[in-house]
Amino acid sequence: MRFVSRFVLSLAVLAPLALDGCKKSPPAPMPAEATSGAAKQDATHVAAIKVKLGAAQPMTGNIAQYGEETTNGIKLAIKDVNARGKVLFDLKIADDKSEAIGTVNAVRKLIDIDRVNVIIGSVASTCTMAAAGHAQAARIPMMSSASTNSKVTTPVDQKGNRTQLDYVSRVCFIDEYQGKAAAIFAYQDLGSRKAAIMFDAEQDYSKGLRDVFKQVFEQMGGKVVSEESFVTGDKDFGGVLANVKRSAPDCVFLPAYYNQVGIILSQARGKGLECPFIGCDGWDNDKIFELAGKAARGCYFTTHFSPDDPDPMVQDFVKKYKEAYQRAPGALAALGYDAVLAVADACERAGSNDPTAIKNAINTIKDLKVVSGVITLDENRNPVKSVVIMKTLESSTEFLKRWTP
Amino acid sequence: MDFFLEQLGNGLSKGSIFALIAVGYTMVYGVIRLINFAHGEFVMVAAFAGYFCLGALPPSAMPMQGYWALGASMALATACAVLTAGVLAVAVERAAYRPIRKAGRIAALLTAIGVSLFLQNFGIQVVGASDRAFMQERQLPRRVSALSLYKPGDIPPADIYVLHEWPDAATDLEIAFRAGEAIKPEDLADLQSQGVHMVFSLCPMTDGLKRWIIISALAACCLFLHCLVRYTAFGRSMRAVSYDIEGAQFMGVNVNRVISLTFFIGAAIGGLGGVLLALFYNTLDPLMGLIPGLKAFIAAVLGGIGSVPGALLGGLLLGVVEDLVVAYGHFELGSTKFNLTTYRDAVAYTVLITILLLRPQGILGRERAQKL
Repeated sequence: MRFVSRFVLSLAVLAPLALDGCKKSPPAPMPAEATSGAAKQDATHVAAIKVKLGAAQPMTGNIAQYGEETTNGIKLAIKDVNARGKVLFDLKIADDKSEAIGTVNAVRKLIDIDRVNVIIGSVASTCTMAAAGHAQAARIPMMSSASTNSKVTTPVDQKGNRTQLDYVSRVCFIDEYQGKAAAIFAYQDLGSRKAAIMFDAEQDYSKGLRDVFKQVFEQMGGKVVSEESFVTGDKDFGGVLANVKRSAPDCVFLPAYYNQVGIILSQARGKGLECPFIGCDGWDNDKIFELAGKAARGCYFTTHFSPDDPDPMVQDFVKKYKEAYQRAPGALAALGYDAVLAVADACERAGSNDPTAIKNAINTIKDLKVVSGVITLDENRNPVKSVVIMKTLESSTEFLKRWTP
Repeated sequence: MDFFLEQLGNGLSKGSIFALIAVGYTMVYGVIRLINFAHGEFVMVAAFAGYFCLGALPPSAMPMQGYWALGASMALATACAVLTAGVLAVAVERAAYRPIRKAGRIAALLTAIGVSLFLQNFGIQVVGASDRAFMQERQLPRRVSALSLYKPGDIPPADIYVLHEWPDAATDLEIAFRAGEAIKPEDLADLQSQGVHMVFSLCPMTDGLKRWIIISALAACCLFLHCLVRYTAFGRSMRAVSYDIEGAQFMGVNVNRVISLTFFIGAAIGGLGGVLLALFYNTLDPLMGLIPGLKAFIAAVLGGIGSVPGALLGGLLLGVVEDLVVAYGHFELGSTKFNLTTYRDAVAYTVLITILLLRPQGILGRERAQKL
C-alpha cells in the first residue's frame, strides 16, 4: 500500500516533466516538401546555404504571449524562405523566461551548445540588452525583432560613452520614433496640454519612452503634471492611480506591456480616471481586452504593423498566418517574420553561413521590403521606418493613421 | 483629506489580503515551528480553483439577478477555493512535511521551498504562464429587463445588451443601446423585428464593493479564528501542541490530527485571501502567490510569528505603510525633487526593519513559547 502510494505520487511528480519532454522533443519542424524542393534546386542551381538560426524568445513568464507570437512569425517565415531554396534555416528555440538573466542563459546555450550561426532575440529591451554583450563577444550576429530601446545596439555607460555593438541589430523602430509619435499625437491630435506618465521602473524600454515623451511633449509646450512608477509584476496600482487622478491630466502616457496595461486600465476606470491612455507597441495584444474589458475602450497606442493595412505583402502575410494559426497576426508576429526575412536577405548576399559575413550583410541592409514597411539600417543598425497609431474599441483595435518621422 | 482616505482605504484592503495570507504562516509556525514557504502557492491554487468554479458558474448563469447572483456565484467559488487549498495543504503536509518532521528545521524549510517551486512550475505546465482575468465582463452580474420598457429618446445610464436566452452563454456581449446616447426609434424597431424581448445591463464590480467584500471577509475570519482558538476543544489542543508538542502527546492529544487541521484551516483562510486577491486585481497567474506570500510572511514576522492577532495587525500595517509611501513619497528638499514611489518596497521595509530592531519578537509576539 505504502509502495503504491509512493508510486502514484512519483508519477504525479514526473507527469508534467514527461509532458514537457514530449512537447519539446521533436526538432524544429522542417516542411518536407520545402526540403525536397530545395534538394531538387540544389542539382541545377548553387547549393543552398544552410544556416542554424537561434531564437531566444520569452516562451514563459511575464510576456510569454509575445514569445509565442514572435516564434509563430519566425516559423512561418522559415517555411517561406526554405521553400525558396536559397537559404535553409534550421531553427533552435531557447526560452528566455521574460527575464534578463534568462536571456543571457538562453543566448549562451544557443551559442555554446546549439552552435547557431545567427540569433533572433529577444523581445523585451532589458532582456536583449543583457544578452547583447555575449553575442558581441562570441561574434554571433543577434537581431532583435522587437526591442525598441535605443541602447540595445549602442549601450551607453555611466559616463555617457557609447559603445557600438556591431553584431547587434534590429528590425523594429526605436523608442525615439514611437515616443515622439505618441507625444505629437497627444499634443496635436488629442489636444492634451497636461499629461501624466506612468512607467515601469524596471524596464529600460519603459524608462526610455518616458524620457522621449516628456522631452518632446514639453518642447511643444505641454506640461507633465505627474510621473509615477511601478515595477514589473505589480498587481496593485491603487496608490499610483490615486496620485495620477489628483494631478487631473488630459491624458496618461503608459509605456508598459499588455498584461500590466490590462490591469492598470481596469483599475483606473474603477477609480474614475476617465481620460484617454496612450501606449506603445507593448500594448499590442488582445489580452488587454480580456483583462480590462470595456475599460480598454478609447485609448491609443503606437505600433509597427496593422493587419488592416491594404499593402499586398501585408495581406498575403495575414492570409498565410491565419491559415497556419487560425487568428490574425499581431505586430510581434509580423516583426518575427520580418527578422527572418532580413536575416535571409543577409545570408543570401553574404553567400555563406559565416557569422561575420552575415553580420556585414545585415549591417548593410538597404530598402528591404518586409511586412512592417521598407527598412534600411542606419549607422547604429536601427531601421528607418514609419509608426502606426491604433485606437482601441470595445474588444478590438482600429488602424488610425501612419506617422513618418 | 479625500486623497488620504482613498489611499488609506486602498492600503487597508491590500493589507487585509496580506493579513489573511499571513494567518496561515503564523498558525503553522505556531504549531510545528515550520515556515511554510509553499503557503503562497496554496493561495495561488485556491485562486485558480475559484477561477474555474466561477468560469463554470458565473453570476450571469445564476437564477438570481443583480448583485445577489454575484453573491451566490462568489460564495460557490470561494467554497471551492477554500476546500481545495485546505485539502492540498493537508496532502502536502502528509506527503512532504510529516516524513521529515524530526529531521530538523533546515530540512523542513528546504522541503517547503521545494514544494513551492514544484507547485509554481506545475501550475505553469497545467494552466500556462500568462495572466488571466478573474472575472470577465460577460460574466458580471446582470440586471434583466423587458425591451418594451425602453422608449425612443430614452438615455440609458449604462450600456444595454441583448439577452438571447437564459442563461445567456454568448461569448461576446451584443450592444443594444449605448450609455449616454438617446435611443433611436429605428434601432428599437430593428431589435423588435429580430424577435428580441429581453435586454440586460451589467452590474460593475466597483472598487468600493470589492473593498467591502474584503473587509467583511477579514472581519468574519477574525471572529472565526478567535472563537476557534479560545472556545473549542480543537483550539485547546492546538494551543497545547504549540506549547509543548511532546507534552501534549503524553496528555492524549492526537498531534498529527491537530497539525493536519492546522494546515487545513491556515491554507483555507489563505485560499480565501487568494480568491480576494484575484478578485481585487481581477487577474491571476501561476506565480501570483509568490510576492503576496512573501509579503504575508513579512507581515507575520512583523506582527510576531506564531501570534494570530499579530499576523492580522502586521498585514494591515504593511499594506497601509506601502500605500502611504506611494501617496506621500513625492517631496522637494530645496531645489531637488525626490520621488520615493520607485523605492516603495525599500522604504516600507526600512520601516519594518526599524520596528523589528526595537521589538525583535514582533509587535504582538511573545518571547517565550506560549504561542497562539
